[in-house]
Parts: sequence; structure tokens; C-alpha cells
Amino acid sequence: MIYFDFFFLLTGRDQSKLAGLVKAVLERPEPMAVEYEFPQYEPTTVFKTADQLMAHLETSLHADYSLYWRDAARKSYNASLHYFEDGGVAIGVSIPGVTTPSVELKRLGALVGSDIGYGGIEENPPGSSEALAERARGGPGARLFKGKVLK
Amino acid sequence: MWFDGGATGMYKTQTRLYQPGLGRFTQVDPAKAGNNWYAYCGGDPVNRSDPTGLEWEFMWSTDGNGQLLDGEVAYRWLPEPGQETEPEPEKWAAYFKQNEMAIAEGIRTNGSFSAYRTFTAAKDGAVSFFSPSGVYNVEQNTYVRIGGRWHTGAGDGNGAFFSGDATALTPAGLNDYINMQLDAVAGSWRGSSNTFAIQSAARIWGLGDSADMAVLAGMMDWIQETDEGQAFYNEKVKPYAAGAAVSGAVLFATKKYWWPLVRRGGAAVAEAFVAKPINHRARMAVTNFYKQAGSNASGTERRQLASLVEAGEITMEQLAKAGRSRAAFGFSTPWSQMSKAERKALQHAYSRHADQFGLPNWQESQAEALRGRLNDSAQLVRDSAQNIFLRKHPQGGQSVWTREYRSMIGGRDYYYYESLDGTYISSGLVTP
Repeated sequence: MIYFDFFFLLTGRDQSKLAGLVKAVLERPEPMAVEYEFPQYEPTTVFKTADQLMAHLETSLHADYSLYWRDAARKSYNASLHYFEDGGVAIGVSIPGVTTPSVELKRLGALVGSDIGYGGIEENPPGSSEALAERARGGPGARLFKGKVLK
Repeated sequence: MWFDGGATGMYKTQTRLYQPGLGRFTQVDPAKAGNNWYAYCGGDPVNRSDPTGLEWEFMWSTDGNGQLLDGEVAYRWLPEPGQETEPEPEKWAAYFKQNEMAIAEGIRTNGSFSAYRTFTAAKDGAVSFFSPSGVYNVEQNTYVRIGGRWHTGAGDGNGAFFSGDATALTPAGLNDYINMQLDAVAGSWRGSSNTFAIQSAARIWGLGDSADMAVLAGMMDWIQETDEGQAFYNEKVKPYAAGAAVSGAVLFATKKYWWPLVRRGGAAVAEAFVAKPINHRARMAVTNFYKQAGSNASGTERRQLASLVEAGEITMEQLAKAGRSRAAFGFSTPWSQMSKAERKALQHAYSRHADQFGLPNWQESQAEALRGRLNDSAQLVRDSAQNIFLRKHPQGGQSVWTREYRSMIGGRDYYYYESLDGTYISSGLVTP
């Protein structure tokens, strides 16, 4: 089974909007962390829920963080949000059994309202908005840049 | 050099007398070269001549070191008594050019030392014999040139063929004679010819001269330590060992042009490899790879790896690196020593596959323990693998060669991917 990782660049850190996007790509999202240490990897605070963390990140414009959800309705479907130090946010979607990545890329892009993204197998999340955009602009594999699907 | 006509049985060079029965001069070297001033041609009268008695030279050499160069013809006329000039050199040259000779092979005899003849084979397979008329003094020892070296055998030389006018020889007759000589040589090696058969095969496979012991050792390892190598040996080498020793070597020397000679045991080996070229260097590298890793790899993977090396898809250096790094699996760096990017990668992998391994949710404060549990799961998949494949696998947007381990654990089908240099890529359920 091939797992495809898609990443799309989003604008803004609005908690409700981002939570809505996670719900859009997963049927029954469940957080995949016990707790949320913050700042990530050098914690001074611990948030008990994803919602609490996302609310905090909404105003911490340069804080970076990655958090994940599983789909309780579909095994091996995952979603993730990646907050970057540059203020940007990316949503990640992992889906098994993708046979037409460019089609899926376009569908998911429309679903999350992004015109910049890419998909690949065994992809690690991008480290910044620029890295994501650069990958979408000229990287290998299925890419979505300014609304156009590129190969 | 002249021959005394049989009175003493000696030859006289410009400075000294040579006694062929002793293989030495009867006077010291006026030049006093080397350690033995009586030795003729440095003790190698087979490959060298010394017409002046002062300095020997290679008779067959075109490169100055006694080695024939592939694609070239090398011969040196040794005048016999009363025959001081080389006959019809233009005829030789024209023939070689016309028939695109690759190499001149020969049987030479030391009955009188001065007699040698060369037989040749043409591109179309016809065997011809060019020689001046004269007495062919073939009495005791036969020399066959194999892989750039002369070998001696126990054949009696069948002087009947070589007595009288050489022009009476037919190509077929000469061919039979050559085969007979080869059989005779092979017979002398029978019983201990397996190694030589392999050496000969090494030449066929383009692995170099038998002096390349590392290559031969690798081949021997391959044969002795792998099922595939053993099967090859039993099927292709062992039944024909003696024949392969000779015919295989002859094939190496003249494989493009001399097929009529290669029709017994050696041919079986040779044809097998002509039909299915195998890069044995690659196979040896693969074997070494698994030796270092202490792993029993499938024959399938070895073949695949060898093919990749052969095709230039991966390099020996990558294989070597893989051998060294196989001890690492999964995420080998402790959490406390990971970079931020590495931590993100671990969390990403963990979050995506934790459910498949039945692992708990991510918790950063327990990251090191979770890393260990993810690694344990991945290692279980790898170590339990019933099948190992090589396949191109997309990674980071690139299509790269990966090694895939497949394991059935608890009735579920798991995979473990790693790069060819042993770097962990991913592990999880094949079917969610």
C-alpha cells in the first residue's frame, strides 16, 4: 500500500478555520497526542487539548508546531497542521492507496482552499512556507502552484 | 643464433653457446646481468629469446612485458638452421588484416627449442595454419598459451602431425590436433583443475587474470557460501572442470573468433554466460554486503542488487556503505541529540504509523521511549521478513531504489523500507 502525503499552504492561523479544514479532510478526526508541550521540543507549558493549543497558536504568530489527527472512520487516514516560524501554516493529509496523485492533489486543494501544495510518498512535512511553495513551484512529483496542477 | 647441426646439440648465439638440454648457457653472461649468469632468458625460455646471448627479450610480447595485447597479433620469427629469414611476412600481415585476427595462439615445442609454429583462427571460425616449410620437431612437451601465459602439459605432441611439410595440414586436421593437445593438457590438470576452471571462468567473465586472487577468492566465496553459487558450480563447472580449464581459458583469449575450438566443457560454461551475462563483481560485492550485515539475504535480492550495479543504478561505494551502516535501523539518533528537523520527522512517522503498530498516542515528554517502541516495531518487521525486495520507491519526490522487507506478523502484512545505504525510510502495514 502506498501512502501519499499531501501538504497545502494556508493563510492565517484562525483556529476555527483550521479545525474546520481538518474536519473537511477527515470524517472523524481524533487528536493523536496525549498532550501538547509548548514550545514544541523545548516545552515550558503543556496544553491538554489540540483546541487549546491552536487557540494559543492563533496569536503566537511565529511559533512553530506540528500536530496530528487520525481518522477514526478510515484507517490510516491522517491529517496534520504545521505552524511555521514565518507565520504560515500548512495542512497535511496522508491517504493510503492513492493511484492518481494529481487528481487527489487538485481535489484536496479545492477542499482546503489552497492553490499551493504538493504530494508525494514518504514525504516529511515542510519546514517553512517558503519551502512548501518552492517545492510546489519546482519540485518533483504532483504539484499544485497558483491553482495549476503541475507534473 | 645458429645450430651446430647436431654434433653437440648446442646453439651458438653471438657470444655464447646454449645447451637446450640443460636450459642454460655453457659460459657466463658477458654482460653479467642478473644473479645467474648461466641462465638462458632469465630461466624462461618459453616466453623469451636471447639471440645475442647478452639480453633476452619476450618473443610474443607486443607490450614489452610478455603479454599479447587483445586485438593485435604478435609473433616473432625464430630462425631455424639454414632458415635465417622470416618467410613471407607480407602473407602473415595480409592474412591477419583480412581476417581481423584478434590474437595469435600457438603451440610451440621445446624439442629443439628453435621450432615453434603458430596457428591462428579467423573471424569466420576457420582455422588456418601459416608456417614456413620445415621440420617440426615436436617430441615431448606441448605448450599452450592461456590467458597470456604459457602452460605446459604432458602430451606427447603427436609429432606425426608436425613432421613433414606443414602445408599438408588441413584446417580440420589442425583443429583436431589442437583439441587433442588441449585434452592432453587438461588431463594433466585433472583432479586439481577445479580452481583452474574457476580461474579460467574468471577470465571469461572479464574478471582479470588468475593473479587477481581477491577476485578469485570472492568467486570462491560466492560458490562455496551461496546456494546460487553452489548450484552454478555443480551444474556448470564441476562436470566440465578439466575441459573448462583449457577451453575456458582459450575462449577468454579468442572468444570472439575461435568458437570451433570451444565446443566441449568450456563451451558449456562460456555459452551460459554469454547467454546470460552476469556481473560477478557485483555479486561479490553483494555477497560481501550481506556478510558485513550478518544477514541471510534472498537470492532474489542478490540478483537484483547485482543487476542494479551492472546497470549503473547503484555503485559499489553505496553497497559498501550499506554494509557498514546496516546495524542502524529506524530512528537511531536519541531524541536528545536530534535536530529539530529530525524530531519533526520522527513525530511525523510515529503519528502516521503508531496505530498500525498498536502504539500509544504521541507524547513529547515520552518521545525517547516512543522512539524506542517505534524502532522495536520496525525492527521486528525487518528481522521477521520472509521476503526482501528491491524496488524503486518514491521518497521525497524522488524515485529511489529501496530495499523492502515484508513480514507477516499476527496475520497482518507489514513492510519495512530502507534506502540501499541502510537508512530507514518507513515501516507499517501494507494494507491498513
